[in-house]
Amino acid sequence: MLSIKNLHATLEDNTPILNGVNLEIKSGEVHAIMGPNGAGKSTLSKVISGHPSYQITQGEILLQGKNIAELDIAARANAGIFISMQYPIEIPGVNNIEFLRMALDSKRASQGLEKISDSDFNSLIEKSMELLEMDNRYTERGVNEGFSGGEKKRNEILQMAVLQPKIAFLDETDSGLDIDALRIVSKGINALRNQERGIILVTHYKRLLDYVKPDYIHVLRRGKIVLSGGAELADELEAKGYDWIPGDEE
Amino acid sequence: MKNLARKRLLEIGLPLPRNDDWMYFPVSKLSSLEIPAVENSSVENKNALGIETESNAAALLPIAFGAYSKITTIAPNETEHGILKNRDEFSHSIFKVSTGAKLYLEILGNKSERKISCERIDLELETDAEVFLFFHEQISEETTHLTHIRITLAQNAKLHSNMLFTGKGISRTSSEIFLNGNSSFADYRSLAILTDKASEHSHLKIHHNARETKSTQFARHFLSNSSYASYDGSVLAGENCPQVNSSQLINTILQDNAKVSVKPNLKIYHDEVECSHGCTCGSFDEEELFYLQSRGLTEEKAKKILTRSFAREVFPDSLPYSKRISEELSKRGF
Repeated sequence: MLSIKNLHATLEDNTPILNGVNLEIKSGEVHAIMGPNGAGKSTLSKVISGHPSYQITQGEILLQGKNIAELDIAARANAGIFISMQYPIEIPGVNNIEFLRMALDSKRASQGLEKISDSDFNSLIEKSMELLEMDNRYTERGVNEGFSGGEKKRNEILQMAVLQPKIAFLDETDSGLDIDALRIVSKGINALRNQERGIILVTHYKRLLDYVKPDYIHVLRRGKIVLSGGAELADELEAKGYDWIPGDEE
Repeated sequence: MKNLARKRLLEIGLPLPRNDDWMYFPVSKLSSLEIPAVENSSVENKNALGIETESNAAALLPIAFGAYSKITTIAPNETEHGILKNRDEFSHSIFKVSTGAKLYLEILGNKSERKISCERIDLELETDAEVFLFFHEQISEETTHLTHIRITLAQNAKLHSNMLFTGKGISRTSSEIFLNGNSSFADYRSLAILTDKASEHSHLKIHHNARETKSTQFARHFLSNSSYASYDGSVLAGENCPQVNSSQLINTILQDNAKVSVKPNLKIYHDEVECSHGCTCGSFDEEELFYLQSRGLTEEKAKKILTRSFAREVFPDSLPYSKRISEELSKRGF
């Protein structure tokens, strides 16, 4: 599904951030990326989605065999890439649900489909909001307007539920969530986990992985994956930190 | 009143570029105006509407050029809804809002086809009166329009002023607000969406002449192509006026070759006063654009959404004219 090959990326001033990332995500798999602060985890998600502050200097990002690195941000999203932001922005004055509908219609247009009907859209929203235990505030307000950190994260998962991406890259979705919100968001992610989709969780803590069991865990350090393993790796990392990992020397 | 205005206008003369209050406006557009001579025969009411001491030519021009002054009175505790749509070259309207009365007034921009047109509107709010104003300037290309709005507020009176500028010509809107009664309040919101060669100039003076008076200014400009806007906003807090509270926030998004000039001016003559001022100017926020595009919207569509958000924030849904303004914004693709 998603194949990242020898990906190198720099900031606009040529500072290297990613130094040869290799990652294979198959349909139906959940991968977790862990690593110390500044390792390049968020950068990886931004590079995959086409953030203009980064430039790819080497390597490929293949989605179902097609190199999406050549596409613009919107085209990558419409091809099936979804990034849940660590700090979702607020857009007052643009209704949250209207925005979702615009995004969905944009995706449908890229697939040659007509705009979604009112009844289909309302039904999709209702079902998705019920899954995430969301109330009417989410439909009445502007995008993320006045939402708490946890509410913004929940709203990101709502967007994922509506847009149904092929690859969802969830960047620290568990940060800022209280115990109940973590449970609800995790329930949402698990409900959206299926054989048609790959999910990448970026997290600092094992607690999210207790709710959403990953198939693989990778450690990213200094812009490179230095260790990969199964779900049990989370316990080891929690107990020992990152210093013991081989191949991680300066 | 006509002769008094002529006399005063002859004293102060037509605006010149060196006049601080007109420094951003292309005053050469007014050079074709010739101030009429004073007629000796008239008997006049001295200093009505502050004319004898008026220093703003825009306040004098309509009256000096013979505009008929139409007076509308809202009876005490009554509520009235009105639309003002002047088509004359020079016009003058006076609204007297009696004690406890409410006035919802929509002022649609002058549709005069003349090259230059001038309009003056006076609003006098008595104790506990409240006025909700929606002013929409939409003059056509190649025309110049001056509007002067003079508002006086007695004790506890409230003004909610919503100004929308979408014209294509040259306009100057001066507002002079006198908070003369204790605890009176003025909220001034304006949005200018200009393109091509449109040029819009807002000139605002708020006089805090009593204690516990409050004023807020929130202005935004979205300027593209070769358009130009200026905002000259003054707050004057009098020496015997404690607990005055005033704020001013001006945000501008500039595109292409558009320009903006902003001049805040705070004159405070009392220690117990809270005044704040903020001003930003820039293009679109890169992170906001990225967020929208990462949801599948093209850059063009994302910019449109951010512009809409920028524009609509000026007039929240809780305002009486928000729906009306929203319609106008929708018509223009915002």
